[in-house]
Amino acid sequence: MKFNSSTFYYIFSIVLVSIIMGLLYNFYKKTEIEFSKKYSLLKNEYKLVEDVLTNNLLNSNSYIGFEFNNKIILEDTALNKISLINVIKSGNILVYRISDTHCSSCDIAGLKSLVSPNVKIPKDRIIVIGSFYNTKLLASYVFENNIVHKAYNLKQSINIRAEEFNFPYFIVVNKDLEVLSCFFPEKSKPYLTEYYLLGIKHLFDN
Amino acid sequence: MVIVTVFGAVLKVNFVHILVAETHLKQIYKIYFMRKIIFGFLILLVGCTNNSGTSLDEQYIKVISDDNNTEKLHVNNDISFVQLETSEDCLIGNVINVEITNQYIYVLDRKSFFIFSKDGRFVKKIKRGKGPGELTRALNFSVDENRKEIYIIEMGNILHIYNDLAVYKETYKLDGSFIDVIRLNDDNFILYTVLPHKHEDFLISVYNINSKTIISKYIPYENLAMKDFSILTYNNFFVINDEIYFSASNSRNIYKYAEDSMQTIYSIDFDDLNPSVSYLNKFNNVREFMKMVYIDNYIGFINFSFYFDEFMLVGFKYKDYNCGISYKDENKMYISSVSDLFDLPKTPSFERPYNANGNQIYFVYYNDLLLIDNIQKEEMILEIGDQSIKLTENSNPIIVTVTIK
Repeated sequence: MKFNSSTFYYIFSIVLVSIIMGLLYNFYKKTEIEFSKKYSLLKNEYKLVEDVLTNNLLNSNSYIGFEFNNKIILEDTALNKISLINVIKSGNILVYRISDTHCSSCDIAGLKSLVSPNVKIPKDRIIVIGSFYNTKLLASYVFENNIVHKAYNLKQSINIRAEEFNFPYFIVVNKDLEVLSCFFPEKSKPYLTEYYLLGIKHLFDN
Repeated sequence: MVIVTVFGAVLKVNFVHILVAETHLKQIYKIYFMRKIIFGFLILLVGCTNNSGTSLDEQYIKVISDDNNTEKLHVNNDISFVQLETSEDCLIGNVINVEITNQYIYVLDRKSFFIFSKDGRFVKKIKRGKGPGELTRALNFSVDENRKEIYIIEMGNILHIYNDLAVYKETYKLDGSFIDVIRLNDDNFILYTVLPHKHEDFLISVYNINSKTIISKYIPYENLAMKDFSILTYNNFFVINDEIYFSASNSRNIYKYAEDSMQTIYSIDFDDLNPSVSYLNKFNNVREFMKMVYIDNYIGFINFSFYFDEFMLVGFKYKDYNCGISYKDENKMYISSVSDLFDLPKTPSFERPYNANGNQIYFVYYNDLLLIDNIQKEEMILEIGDQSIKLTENSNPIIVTVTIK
């Protein structure tokens, strides 16, 4: 059988175009899969941020004005007892609340935000209040996580509703033990915590 | 012009080919998928025989909330204390579970697994880490006293086996996420899932260590009234006279492993204290349900169930009560509180037993007396009945054992 040049040309064209179409189809499929992955990731991210903001808008504001009992006793890492009112007497204090019963990585994410270079709140105006069965456990927690702020253990229960969530949170308390601000952080979105900490900086200016 | 026409024709042919190829692929995939479904169905058919959780000897227990039968609401017992040693190596935090054998006291807190002698001396702690047998996030454990083995569930999908002194033996990777484990026999473990209904269809799986697969599943979620709500509970299995009993937070039944299946032996009828289907439908999340079900005076989750020679003790929260007691041969359950039943102080440490074995019930006492009114004190004496023990602040908890007479 004899091939003439045009037959060869057609066959060659068909093969070439098939290869090109195949490659284009693969490229299209790959792009489509990548796009749906990115889209679903973006959607989840959006949902998470929305949840954090909704939770904060719904709950955090409702704690503003809450007054702590002036009989609350804390214990420092050297096992000395001190009342909350004496810890806060110098003025507004940012309290980061952690506990042995919280998700550990959630507590640690908040601690990292506190030492971020973007946070301009003076170190001596920030305290960590933990709830550990044994204050020695808090001391070892402070050591293990290189916590640079003053840390106290709280063994009594406090009746602020934020405790119900069993989740770390930030509050600003004034010398009358009144809550001025509250925020529930999300460990995977530390920038939101930093925005919050930037937003409350003015409460520590004087 | 010819080239364009040919190119167009080729393009069309190619496109048709691609479509045909795609249709073929879809058909092949459909056949493959159907085969998978049929295969899966057959496995379920074989694996889940008798898995409905209903069987012979099922007994209905009606909950009585207004019976003040004082004789039934008190259990004679003896108390003993063990102060767990306190040192930098064995600081115990929030305890998840406790098991006590003839030789040792095993304690799992949120960070570590500890072994103490029966008189409270610290013996050993399993290292934290990612090496063989080391733990990063242990969820729960059980002990088989006859085999002298400890089984620890880590991160829901890892099962570690150690000897009774926590010397590492082997690890199995599990397909699923589980919160509780018990050894069934030489080849199999029973596992209780932690996954919610939308991710898992059955509460119980049987894992075979030879095939390293789940070989059967029992108790379908579909049969549970509170199928969409469950919480983490750590005392789901209970062994008495070599028989395995099981309860789950979202089931009103008590099951027993018998004849190669999980069979319902008790069905608890909470009557009008049971949240209705329409009430359950109001909630989208467990947290909100957990809060409201208590406020609205319904009984929500089952927190534990223990069996003794004369009675069964079931934990749940209702008003100021935290348990129900049901005597054998009676189809009644009296609502009460653990403190009232066993003459224990009404403090948080005695709101729920941490475990039970034989005729003994174990509590973890967190020095409650040194809190609230006595927050400034560093030492006090805890007295229960004719027994007493000195409490020291920042010392490890005390194991309080209640022995039923």
